[in-house]
Amino acid sequence: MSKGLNRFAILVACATFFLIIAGALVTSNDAGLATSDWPLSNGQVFPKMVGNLFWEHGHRMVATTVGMLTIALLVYILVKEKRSWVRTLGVFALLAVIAQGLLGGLTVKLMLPLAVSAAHATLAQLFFCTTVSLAVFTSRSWIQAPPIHQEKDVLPLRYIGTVAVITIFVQLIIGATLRHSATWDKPLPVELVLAHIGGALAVVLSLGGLTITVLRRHRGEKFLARPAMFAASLLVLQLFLGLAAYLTRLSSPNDPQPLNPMISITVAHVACGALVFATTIVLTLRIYKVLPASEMSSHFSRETSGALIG
Amino acid sequence: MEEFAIDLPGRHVTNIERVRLTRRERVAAYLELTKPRITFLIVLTAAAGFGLASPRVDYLAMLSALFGIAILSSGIATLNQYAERDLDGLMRRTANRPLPSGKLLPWEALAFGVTLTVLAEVYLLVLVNPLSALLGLTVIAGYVFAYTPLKTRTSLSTVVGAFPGAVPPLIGWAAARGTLSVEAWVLFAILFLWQFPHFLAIAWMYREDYTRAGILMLPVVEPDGRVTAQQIVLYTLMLLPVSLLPTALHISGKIYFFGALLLGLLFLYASVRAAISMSRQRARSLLLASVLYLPLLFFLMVVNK
Repeated sequence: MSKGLNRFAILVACATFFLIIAGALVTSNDAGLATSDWPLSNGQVFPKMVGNLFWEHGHRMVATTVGMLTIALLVYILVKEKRSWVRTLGVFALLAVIAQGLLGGLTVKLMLPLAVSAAHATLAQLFFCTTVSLAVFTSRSWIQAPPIHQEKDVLPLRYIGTVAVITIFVQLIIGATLRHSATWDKPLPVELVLAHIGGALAVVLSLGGLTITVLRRHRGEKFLARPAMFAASLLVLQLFLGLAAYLTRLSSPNDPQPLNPMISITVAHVACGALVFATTIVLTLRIYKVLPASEMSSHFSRETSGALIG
Repeated sequence: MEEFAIDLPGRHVTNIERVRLTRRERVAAYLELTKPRITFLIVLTAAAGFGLASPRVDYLAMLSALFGIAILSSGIATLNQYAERDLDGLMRRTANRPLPSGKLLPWEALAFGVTLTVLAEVYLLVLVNPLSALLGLTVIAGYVFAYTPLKTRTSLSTVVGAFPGAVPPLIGWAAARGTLSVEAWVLFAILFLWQFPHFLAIAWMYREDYTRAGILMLPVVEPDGRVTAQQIVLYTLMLLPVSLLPTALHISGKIYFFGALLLGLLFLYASVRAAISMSRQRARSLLLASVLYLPLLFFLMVVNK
């Protein structure tokens, strides 16, 4: 285990979070087409950062930095890390960030088609999830975590965790599609709003169920209880941000341009969504690590079928 | 054993065997899970929100919205009892609830609660409007996933719980208008502040129960009751001017103003009396005053709009 590698992985994950905020600012400021040029901005490596170009070119600069950091992280992993699956994940991270850069370029070149923009926003979350996972896998708490004396006859936490992660991911895709199909001056597409709120309900139930079950079964285990508390708090915050975003969005069609309250609230909603996703992934990965699978699920299936039949 | 344990074996409730019940008793047990009295009060405040938001009340739309809100409130009450089944078993006041008494099994309550909540949310989303469903979600998350787990961790949980607790009139308002305005937030503020004297009175009356269950209500953390007494009076004092705002904002008229003033002073009187003696009986009177105050206030607001 290398402490330096872990710290560097955390740095890359934090930089990625910052990149998501920078990207969200481009969308919220409606700055995606501040230049129709890519990879250069208006034919220059470093243009004058005026108007909306500040957001678009700023995003490109942060993205370039994260790309460089990911290359460095992969090199660091290849040098220090012996676990082959972690090395593979490092390679995957680099491929993801390259694909993400190309998708970003395609968004500009094709003048922001919905599918490409939404895919860019979704891949962003997947890449973030990868860097967060790398930070988890290289941490001391991960490597040294002893298996918890597992419980029998209960619904395995790893199932609930996996369901929560998938639900959140689907919700992120719907959210990205909603965001990119209606800028501030267009009416909100009703079906997507319904889908996103329906998705929020699914997340509340799955993630809420996960955190409450973790806290009931493993209150004393900080390794699990802490991310569970974090996830629950972020979920509540995220719902309030979503409500605020919706309310400000409702009153925006008369605005001359995207105004600050709407920009800050929607960007905060995107950022908090990424954090909910990341925290749930950390929690679920840790569940996989410390709660052995085989015995639990076999007990569960036996008990469940017994209970269902009897 | 007819038991489907979804949680740790060895805990109190999971070891309770189901009591044999007649069909009628079972229905009654399910009904009890929905906390009908609280649900009724919530529907009442939501109705006030709806009534105040509509220049001319569309009674069919109101009935439909209130139906959704009632189902949602029932679902949340059920999920809350599912989450707190162990604690409830430790308190005399709640030991007879359907789960700790073994009338129903945990998974039955969970399935019932999830079904009601999902049905209510889908109902609000599709048949009322997205904003009401979104507000409903904040109540679910705030109540079940923030307030409930915090109860055993900090006495500030009451403050956290007061947020989702004050949302029902907002849902009513949103159901009528599809958006929220300053007036709606005034209703929110009234309900938010009202909850403190109400809950602190309950917490004082049942402080031994709460101590036994490890629920950190203020009177548990601070048994001599000084801070509890101060807070009861302080929140009722704050409530008084806030309750007069509807007239200032032209939601309601002068009759409401004087009515609210009178009601507020009476409520304050009950609070001060309870705060001075901190006896169980005075706390009970305050509790009674609080549950009379709120419906009367909202009734006045609606009839004098």
